[in-house]
Amino acid sequence: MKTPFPSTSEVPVSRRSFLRGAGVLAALPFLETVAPSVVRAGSRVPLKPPVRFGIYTVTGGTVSESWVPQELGNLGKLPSILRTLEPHKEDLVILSNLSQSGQGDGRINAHEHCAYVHLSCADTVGKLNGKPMASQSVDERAAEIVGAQSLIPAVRMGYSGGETSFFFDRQGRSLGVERNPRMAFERMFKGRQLVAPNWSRRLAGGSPEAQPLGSKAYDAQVVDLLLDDARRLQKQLGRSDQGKLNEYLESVFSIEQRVRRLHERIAIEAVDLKDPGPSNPHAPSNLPTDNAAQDQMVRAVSRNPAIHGDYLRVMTDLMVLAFQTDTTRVCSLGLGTDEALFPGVVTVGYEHHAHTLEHHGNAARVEDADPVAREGCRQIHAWYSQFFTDAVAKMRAIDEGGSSLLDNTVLLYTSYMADGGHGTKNYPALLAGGAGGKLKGGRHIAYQKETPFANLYVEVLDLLGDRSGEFGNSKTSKKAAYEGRLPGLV
Amino acid sequence: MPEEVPLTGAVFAAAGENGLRVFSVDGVRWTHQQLDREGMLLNHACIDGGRCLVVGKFGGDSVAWSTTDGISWTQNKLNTQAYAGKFGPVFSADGQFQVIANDDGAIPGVRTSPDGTVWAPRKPLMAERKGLKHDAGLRRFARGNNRLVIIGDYGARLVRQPDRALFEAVLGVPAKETLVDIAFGNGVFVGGGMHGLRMRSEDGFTWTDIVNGEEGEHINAMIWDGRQFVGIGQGATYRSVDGKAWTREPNENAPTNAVFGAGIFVGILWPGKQLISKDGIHWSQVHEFPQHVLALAYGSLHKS
Amino acid sequence: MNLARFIYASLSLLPVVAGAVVPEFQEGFRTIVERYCLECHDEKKQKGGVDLSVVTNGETALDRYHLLRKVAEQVRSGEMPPEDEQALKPEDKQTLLHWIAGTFDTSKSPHPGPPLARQLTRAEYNATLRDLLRINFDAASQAGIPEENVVGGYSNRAGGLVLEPVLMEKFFTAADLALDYLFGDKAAAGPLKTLLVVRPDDSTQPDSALRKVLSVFLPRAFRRPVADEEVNAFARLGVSALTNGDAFEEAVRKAIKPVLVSPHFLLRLESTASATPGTVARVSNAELAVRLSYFLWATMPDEELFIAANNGTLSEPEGFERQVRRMLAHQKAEALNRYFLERWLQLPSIQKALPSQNAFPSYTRSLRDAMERETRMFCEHLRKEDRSILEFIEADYTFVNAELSKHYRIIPPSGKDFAKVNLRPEDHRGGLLGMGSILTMTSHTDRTKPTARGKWILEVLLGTPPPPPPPNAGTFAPKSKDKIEPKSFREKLAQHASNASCVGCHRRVDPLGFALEDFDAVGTWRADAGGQTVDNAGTLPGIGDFKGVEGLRRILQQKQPVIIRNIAAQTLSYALGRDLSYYDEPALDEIVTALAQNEHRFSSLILGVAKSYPFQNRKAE
Repeated sequence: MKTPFPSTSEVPVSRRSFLRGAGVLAALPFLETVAPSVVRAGSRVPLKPPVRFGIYTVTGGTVSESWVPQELGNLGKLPSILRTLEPHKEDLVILSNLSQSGQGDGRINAHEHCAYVHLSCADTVGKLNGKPMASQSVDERAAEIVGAQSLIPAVRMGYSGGETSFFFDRQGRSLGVERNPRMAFERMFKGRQLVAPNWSRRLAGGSPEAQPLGSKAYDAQVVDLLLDDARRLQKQLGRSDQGKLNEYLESVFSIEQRVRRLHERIAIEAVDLKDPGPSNPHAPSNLPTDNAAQDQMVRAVSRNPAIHGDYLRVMTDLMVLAFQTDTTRVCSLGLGTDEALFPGVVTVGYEHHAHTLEHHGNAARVEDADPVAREGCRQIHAWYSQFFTDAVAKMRAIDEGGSSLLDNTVLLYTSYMADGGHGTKNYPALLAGGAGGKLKGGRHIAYQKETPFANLYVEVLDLLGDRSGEFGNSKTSKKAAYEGRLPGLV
Repeated sequence: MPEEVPLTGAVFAAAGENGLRVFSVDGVRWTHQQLDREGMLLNHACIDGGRCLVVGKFGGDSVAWSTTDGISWTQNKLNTQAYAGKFGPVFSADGQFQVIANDDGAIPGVRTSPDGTVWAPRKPLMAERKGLKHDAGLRRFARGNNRLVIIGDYGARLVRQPDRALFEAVLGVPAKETLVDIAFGNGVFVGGGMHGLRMRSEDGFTWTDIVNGEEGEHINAMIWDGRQFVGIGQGATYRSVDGKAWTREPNENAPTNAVFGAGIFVGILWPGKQLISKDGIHWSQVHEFPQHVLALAYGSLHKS
Repeated sequence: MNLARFIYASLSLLPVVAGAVVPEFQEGFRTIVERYCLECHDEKKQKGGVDLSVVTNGETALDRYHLLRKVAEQVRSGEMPPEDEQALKPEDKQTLLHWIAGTFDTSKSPHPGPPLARQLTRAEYNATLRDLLRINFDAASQAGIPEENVVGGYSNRAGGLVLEPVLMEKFFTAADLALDYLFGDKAAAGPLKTLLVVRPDDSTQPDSALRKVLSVFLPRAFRRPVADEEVNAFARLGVSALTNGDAFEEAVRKAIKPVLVSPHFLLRLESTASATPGTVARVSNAELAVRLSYFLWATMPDEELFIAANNGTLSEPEGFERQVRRMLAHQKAEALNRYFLERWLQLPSIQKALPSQNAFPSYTRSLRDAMERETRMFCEHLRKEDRSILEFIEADYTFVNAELSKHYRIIPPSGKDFAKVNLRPEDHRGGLLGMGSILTMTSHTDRTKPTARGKWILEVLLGTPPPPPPPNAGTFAPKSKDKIEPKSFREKLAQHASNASCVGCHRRVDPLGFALEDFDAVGTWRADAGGQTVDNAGTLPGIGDFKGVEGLRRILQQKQPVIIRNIAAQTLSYALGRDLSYYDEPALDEIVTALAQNEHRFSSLILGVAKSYPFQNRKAE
């Protein structure tokens, strides 16, 4: 029996030529040899320290009386969950009363509901045919704006406990999260040197010289073959198969783009290496040395707070490093896990299991909740804050040539629920960093009750250069307020 | 003190995971260590009448260990059938060891024993389960003014008045006034709780001088050291002679549970850390067990 | 009380009344619903999450199959309208049921469902790569390919799988790692030899040897016959390598790497090129072989299946059944257990259960693994010994090791290791409801969770999950002054459930869970709950009173038709990789009928699904 699949013989394999920098395919983790440093002429080089957007979101909501400052305006002594941030007060804006109003479709549980609306602010979330339904998440939107200039448009890491997805692409498809620190590191840095961009040199111009391309490398032939085959195949398939094949094509194509970017980047970084920026990037100190050590770490997160801490530290360091080396400009960390045990972190009462504490420590009326469990929740969140504080401190210390990395970042600290009882009102929300000099810290701003969280994302996206003025349900929410903006923030 | 020499006189006792039982005369050097099977959790300890009683769980059973010399121990089961009954804090009163049994929804009970070996059947602790949330645990105990006071979750406070057989609950205590520990001294009961909460009472029913402290500075141990109340909290130690006027001192390395004896505070911190302090403020680590320590007690062994 | 009255005679819709014309939408549905239902089930009130106003004509009805099926079930059983509302007149009931049945009747125009594009799941990819290269190598873990991000179902749900760029990168990495292993590791010398069917020698030029190797490899990799031209396309890379001076092995490696990241390998594509859109045709033998092997083995077909597909025996009924039985008995069919049965039972959740060490010191890691193993072995036994699927509900045996038997306080096996043991009635075990795994994973850290247990029964066994609680119901409702402080968890739950927005579901869910109260939060049989007698009695609307696990088993025995149909539906849904809908009902009818004729044996379930219309056919788009 012959299949109806067509012959490929009449088309020469190396017909297409858009894969200019094919040689560097080899430097990507999925290819085997070291790349020659060749570069295409006229490539766009980032010229000044760009604004980065980080999302640091933890599980379990928060304990609002220990997160929201009582005074408005200038920050006084920080509430206990944020206490470790005291030295960085002038870099923080705390925002209160931001809420979610998206409705569930009746097929999802409260955790899924909170997870799906968290970064998408969709009006309706649900699931269909085993597929989560939400709209584009804010990190993906941000990547559309600033991602093209960095090596990887958006990085998503964390989820040690296999949490429910917060991340959705433009089509509403849920996106994966890298939970293994070593693999996250290799994906970002294999084939590259760890070097701080010399932003002032890049600012002064002077792109590296173009070098002639070598002959068509094997890896380019592989991609050519795949793309040719897939495109021809597409005509032979039914609609749904075509859709799937499109996904495939887009993925292979985006790999090709990454190759091109990496290729340009290696050349730029080769120049930076001779005259690097002032900071000195290095791999996280507790990066697991191999896959086995990495698996061991991830597995132990929920049982052992010391290892949990190591995990949060290494993931946080990876985010800082990704920004420092301009590997990405949009990085999200989904940290903490409801299943974790916290002996030693929780020093009160008799229960150490985060999820149990969240349920006992919350009630329809706070005064009916178990205050001991609630105190346990507070301790867990104060503990999470330490690691966030570490990130802020490290970013403050990284000099990008007259401004710090923190000055050039807007870093959101929040949770996917407002509280441990799946609440959706008055989420914890805090911005750290100067967003390239546009954001003034040291403030607490309280908006009217149930102000859509989407308004904050509109402001952040605006800081990144998005002029659409709308995100998620910022204008369509039943609780729409302030014309979808946050007055006084920027 | 050499391991083989029977202990006598005032000692600290500690108990914990894997059947850990261990003693110290000075709170610094821990001797006479015993372990049992993996998974045996000993979470309550009490020394009185020259005898140390340690209570905990193994598998489906509640176990009670007792010794007079720190060397030879006897083991008993507290439950009459497997998996029945959760046995809680132990204390001594009326010349007997008393173990509280408290289960979801049931009337709390008590089992008593003169020697930690022979146990009387479970008797009800109160006439009805009232003023006690269905799943509230009972946690700590204090004795004074001819009465007994037990505290527990969701603001639970039980009082046994002089010459009464049963405890009565204090009604209407809001959950946020839950006490974590309680002590008696200078004629008053003093309790401590969340966010530096402190209060005093002479009869266990009426509580006054309720004050709050810093947010997050929960008090884990309230101790009468013979001169004053010392509330050891997360981040600060609160001190008062009468439970009315307090001082607050930021503390270091504070333990999650502590006792006082022989002029020294002894505390524990996860995992398995043994601490001491002269003032309840400055703590230093003296030892670290591979097993976590869950219970502490101070008292005299083998009084003849 | 006549219990049978309340049992769905068949979960499929009423057969269309012979000869009778199906009424129009207005008289068959809208008028009746307006009269009896919309007061509670309109867009505004949506009691129980049900809004019937969304059905606006016969067309929109087709998209609301699950809703209308529920309507039909509850109207037929008398559960709806509720007792305190106006009763449905018999003729109205008849008309409504007739309209629903007619609307969804596909007996005259069978429909295999939408053709869904599939990509290999993580597990399928890993097993396929392993079988294709014949290496014992976990490429997915090595490359960090993540678990599927699929909600509410099996990991092979076509709709939930996304081939995103990051995943594609990992497929590239995995291909390199697997080839590193195959060409570099001593352990893979045998497999490499098998791959290189020919080596260049005096009579064979390197490039023709390369083509020969590929012509054997490609049909296995693409799971279908392959044209010479396709072989040539891949050979070209190898030939180019040979020209550049690479050794033969290196050239082969270069030629097969693109195969491992090709859409023909990573995706499960079925050709409809020659078919007229809208027509239904049986899938090709090669495609059927692929469907079968991913259903039963979660990997590529083996040699024998390829042969059966090629020589046509797979299209003959006896040949087909022979293959199914052979595959079901094969060790590879463990995949069916792992990716279907265990996920259906939600068994992976046991790994996330965290009974508090304080309350349950006996719950150790080894006990947890033993609980998981018991359920796993029970499922395996069902498959290997071809037992009745009704043993899920009631069985007089189970599998325990010494530790688990002590935990259960039943007669231990002779050795320390796992063995099948016979159960006595006083053991209260046997079937899923007595298993520590199920009982523990549906409990809280410090107590049982009757609602979760009830939900598990409704969702997993009966296939009728209650809707999730409204977002703000996560915690217990506020106390009001007139409510007394609850004395027990049951009272507390009852108070909570007396809230108007909660009562509808909790009334259906909680009693099932309370019947299991004799088992504590780690599945131990308890004599009492702290001095109080265990409260294990329940009443279900439309069912009546029952008590304890034995009472619950009796209820479930009466619900047998529902359970059997649910298991059939779950199996079919897994096999097809999609949710079921009305057009699958005829197939389910046939599977259920075949099960009844074959003592509900496991093999009859699998055969029924494999022979079913949607499994064998595809609609061209």
